[in-house]
Amino acid sequence: MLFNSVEFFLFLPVVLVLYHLLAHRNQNRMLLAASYLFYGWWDVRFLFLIVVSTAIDYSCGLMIERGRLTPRQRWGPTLAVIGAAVGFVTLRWEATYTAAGFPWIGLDRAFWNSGWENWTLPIAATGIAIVGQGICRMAARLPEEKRRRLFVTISIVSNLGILAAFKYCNFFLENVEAAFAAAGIGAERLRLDIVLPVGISFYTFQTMSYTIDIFRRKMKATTCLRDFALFVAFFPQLVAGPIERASNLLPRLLRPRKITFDGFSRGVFLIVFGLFKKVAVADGLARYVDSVYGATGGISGGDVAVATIAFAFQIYCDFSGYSDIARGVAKLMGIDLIRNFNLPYFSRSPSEFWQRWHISLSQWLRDYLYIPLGGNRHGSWLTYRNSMLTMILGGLWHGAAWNFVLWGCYQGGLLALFRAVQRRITTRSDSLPVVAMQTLGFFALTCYGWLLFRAGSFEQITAFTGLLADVSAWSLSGKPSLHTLAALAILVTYEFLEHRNGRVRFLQQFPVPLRGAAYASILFLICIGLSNEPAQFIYFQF
Amino acid sequence: MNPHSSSTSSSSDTDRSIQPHWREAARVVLWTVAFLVLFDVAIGLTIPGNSLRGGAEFLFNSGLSNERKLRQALASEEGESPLLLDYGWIGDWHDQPSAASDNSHTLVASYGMSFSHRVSQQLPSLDDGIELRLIGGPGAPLNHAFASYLEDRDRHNADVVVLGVLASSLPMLRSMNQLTCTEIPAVYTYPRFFIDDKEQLQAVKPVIATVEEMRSAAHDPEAWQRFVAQLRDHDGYYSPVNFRQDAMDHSAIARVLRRAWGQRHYRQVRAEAYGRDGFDLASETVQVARAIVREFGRTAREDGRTPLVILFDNTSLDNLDRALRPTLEEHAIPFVSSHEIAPSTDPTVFLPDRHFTPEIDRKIAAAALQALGR
Repeated sequence: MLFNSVEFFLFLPVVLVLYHLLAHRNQNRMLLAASYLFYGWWDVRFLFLIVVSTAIDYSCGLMIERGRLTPRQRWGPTLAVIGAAVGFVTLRWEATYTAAGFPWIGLDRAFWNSGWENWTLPIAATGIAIVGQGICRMAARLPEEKRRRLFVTISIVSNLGILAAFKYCNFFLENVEAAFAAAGIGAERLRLDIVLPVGISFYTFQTMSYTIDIFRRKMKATTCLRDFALFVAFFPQLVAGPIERASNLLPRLLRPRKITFDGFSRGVFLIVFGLFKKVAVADGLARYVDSVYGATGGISGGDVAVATIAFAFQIYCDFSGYSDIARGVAKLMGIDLIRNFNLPYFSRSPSEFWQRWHISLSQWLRDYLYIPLGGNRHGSWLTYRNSMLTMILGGLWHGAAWNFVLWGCYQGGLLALFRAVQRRITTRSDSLPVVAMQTLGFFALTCYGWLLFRAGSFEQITAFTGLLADVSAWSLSGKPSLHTLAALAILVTYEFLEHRNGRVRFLQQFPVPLRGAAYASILFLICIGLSNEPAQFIYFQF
Repeated sequence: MNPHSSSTSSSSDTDRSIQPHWREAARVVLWTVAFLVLFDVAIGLTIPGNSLRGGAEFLFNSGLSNERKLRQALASEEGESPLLLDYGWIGDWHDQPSAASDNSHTLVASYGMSFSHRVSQQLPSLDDGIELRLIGGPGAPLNHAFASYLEDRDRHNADVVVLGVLASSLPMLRSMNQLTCTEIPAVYTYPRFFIDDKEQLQAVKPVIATVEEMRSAAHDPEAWQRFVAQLRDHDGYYSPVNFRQDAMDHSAIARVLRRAWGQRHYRQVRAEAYGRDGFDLASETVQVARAIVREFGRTAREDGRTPLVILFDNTSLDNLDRALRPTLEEHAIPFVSSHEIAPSTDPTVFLPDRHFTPEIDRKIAAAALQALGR
């Protein structure tokens, strides 16, 4: 279900009404069901992976901390996985809809239409679950440290295994094919027909952080499978983040929430502003960017430069718009999610940029990759190496393609370069012209990174870089629509004022009529933007 | 990706120093509504309500109801209509030759849209013994092309008949009028084909078939109701929200919202023709398209003519070929598939307006001649 779809705006009020009517424990039950409905709307089979991930990390978390599972804690995940295999993969729900129009009436049809080959998954899931139970029983007798290491390894390998199978398998096979072809060995098409489940990188990272934090004794394992399942699947941030830490989100899910007028109104504003970013700016720019990046000729360096700047705003508005809506929806339920973007294009250096852009991923990579690698504790060269490795893996997290690796290398290179330069600069000026120059200069470097990110091939990167370098031949053959530019102007003005004020809610200092005019402009441009062809949120594919 | 630990001038989202009161919130909402009304009125005063030509006019007026647009067009002076009133009507082809100018020449009658016309126009340059009878409509779907072919069967002496099938317009087989399914401002109507219980291809003919009938229906409530009722019953893209003239026509904001709704509705209906990997081979659209090309081959041979089908795969899914090739091969109907010459996944085969480049048109035309044994 997309945040900018009619379905979501029918789904959300129903969830909110139920949420307000129910008591805390039932709120969590309802939210879990709603989250599965929200995610299953894309493809019900994807839910099986969520349940598997939930079951593994729930069990591993308890085994790391306590070294044993109660019968309830053993059978809960086991039955959940088997049930998910049958319910989400084996049964052919579409057969029930076409025949009966209502799923329950046609359950027998779903059962008999499933085909025997589809029952292999539940059988395999049962086998693996029983083996898992056996491992847990045997591991209870292991020394504590060994046991803890075993289960954190199981958690990491399982999560990365799911990610590798669904996201990186075809990338690997494509490169094997290419290597065979380069060696003159004819190979059959090796790639597999795998559908990438939306948001898989987000929830696998989120659940992994849970077990790692328990292993590091930074938090306690949760004993309630249902609450943990809600932490994994909480629908506002499930498919495109923010990647929440269990230590932040789980306690909010475990205790009753209080909804205030302030929180509710802030939530509404975040939803509207997120929609504005997505619908009025990102979707409006998408068409123009696609026209340049999909062009077959007849474009100049000017087109490439403007389209790349447009893409910088498109990807920012697309992703931060989603995060804003996610935070807004969570706020309507009294739950605060972390802020994922903090005016990133006002950064003056790469390290500042990564503290403002996709903050939840940056912090994840810092805590679970960069620091374990040694961070900046072992001298300059190892620091550069660690930065580069972190950024390359961060690039690869975004997608299984070489241009993401190149983008990661570029970002790692920028970090190293700025670090080396800053060590030699002893005085730092904060005068307005210097700050403006630094900000614009770093924005230009960021934009070139986006060219690497957006390009469809290495050939395109080379060709576009050549066009950019030929400044004398720059011209413009097209531009985004006027209403998109108006929306962009409003966004830039808003963020500039926020940056200058240093407070998120600066608008509330303004007279009421002026605020009314601002909100009306935003709503008006959303109305116009709804006619833009809705592009899927870019980060869903990650 | 935050390896270094310098601080930023981050501002907090949980700034408690400003706590909005519900009264203040209500005032903000009222001011917001007031400004929205102001914007709406200002646009109404500055943008003429009957034009679709400029960027702003198109933006704010393409969400007018279909009925309103149609009535405005019919009431406008000649040359001032915001819609294409006179183009594409089936049967209105008096300017096309009905026989070759010379007995040694071959008349080729081509039915389709711009893609098929562009390829057909290359034929005389490759074979100077070919003359053309070109029949089509702006953005015409397959049902328009096939209905034109059927209507034209007794009107000419062509030796070869060509049917163009365009991938992007194939889902419009479920429409009867361009107004319901595109933003192309064309008015012409065409039949809706379907397969009956006996697996036979049948047609629902439009109750309005000429521009004159459309003009007269605009002043005849009963005829107009028949027209609307037919669209409601048989046009898969018809939506009362988009079609019927109502108060939304008087508000710019309501119009842009209706435009968004209309596009969503269009995409939803269109999506029913597709599966995960392109056309759903079991869909009504593909089944009817297969029946149409089968019937085209049969009737052309019955008339002593050589049929030729050209498949234009112009969408990134590139599988019109997969949908229709089995039928064409089974019935030995000569065909050319652009997929083999210019895969649509290759962007270099297209012009910026998404037509094939002239070079590709020429290659398809050469393949067509080869398929015809010339």
